Amino acid sequence: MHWRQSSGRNDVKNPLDSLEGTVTCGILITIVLYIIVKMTEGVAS
Amino acid sequence: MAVENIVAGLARWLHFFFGVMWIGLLYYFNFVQVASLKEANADGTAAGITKYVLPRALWYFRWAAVWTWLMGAILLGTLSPDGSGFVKAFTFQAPYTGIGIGAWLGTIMLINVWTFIWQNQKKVLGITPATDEEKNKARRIAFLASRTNTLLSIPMLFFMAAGFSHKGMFGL
Repeated sequence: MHWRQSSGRNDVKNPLDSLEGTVTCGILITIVLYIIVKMTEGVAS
Repeated sequence: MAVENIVAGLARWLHFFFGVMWIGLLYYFNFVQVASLKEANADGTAAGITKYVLPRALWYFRWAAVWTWLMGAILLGTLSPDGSGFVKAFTFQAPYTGIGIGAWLGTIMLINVWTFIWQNQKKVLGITPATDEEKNKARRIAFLASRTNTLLSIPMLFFMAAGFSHKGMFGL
C-alpha cells in the first residue's frame, strides 16, 4: 500500500490475481530457466 | 528382474500417481474453485464448498504433495547406478541439471503447501482460532501462495518431463 502511494502507480496489479497473469509468468520463468541452463551447459563444456 | 528396477518402477508409478493428485487438486483450486467460490459467496451457497469440499480436498492435496516428493526422491536415487542421483540432481550436476531444477521447484512447492497454504487455510477454515481480520489476511496469503505454486508448476512440469525423455527436443 505504501509502495503504491509513494510510487504513484495505482494501476500496477499483481499478475497472480489473474489466471492469465499466473500462466504467462509461469511460461516466462520456464523460458528464462531454460536459457540459463543452456548457457550454463555451454560454459561448463 | 533386479530389485533396483522394481523399486525404480514402483517409485516412478507412485510419483506420477501422487503427482497427478497433487497438481490436479492445485489446478482444481486455481482454475475452478476460486471463481466458483466467488459466485457461491454472492448467492450464499459457499458453505457447501468450504464446509464439505475444501477440507477433504486440502487433506488429499497436502498429503499427495508429501508422497509425490518422497517417491520422487526414491526415483532420483535410482537414476544413478551408485545411488547418487538425488544429490547430483539437487546440486545440478550434468546430466541431472534439468531434473534437478524440476526437483528444486517441486521441493519449494511442497514447503509452500505445508507452510503458507495449509497454515493459513487452517485459519480460514476455523481449525486455528482467528479474528475476521486475521482470516481475511490468511485468505489472501493462502491465495497468493496457491497461485505461486500454480506458476511454479509450469516450469516444474517442463523440467520434470524434459529432463530425460525429451533430450532430443530440448537437449537438457
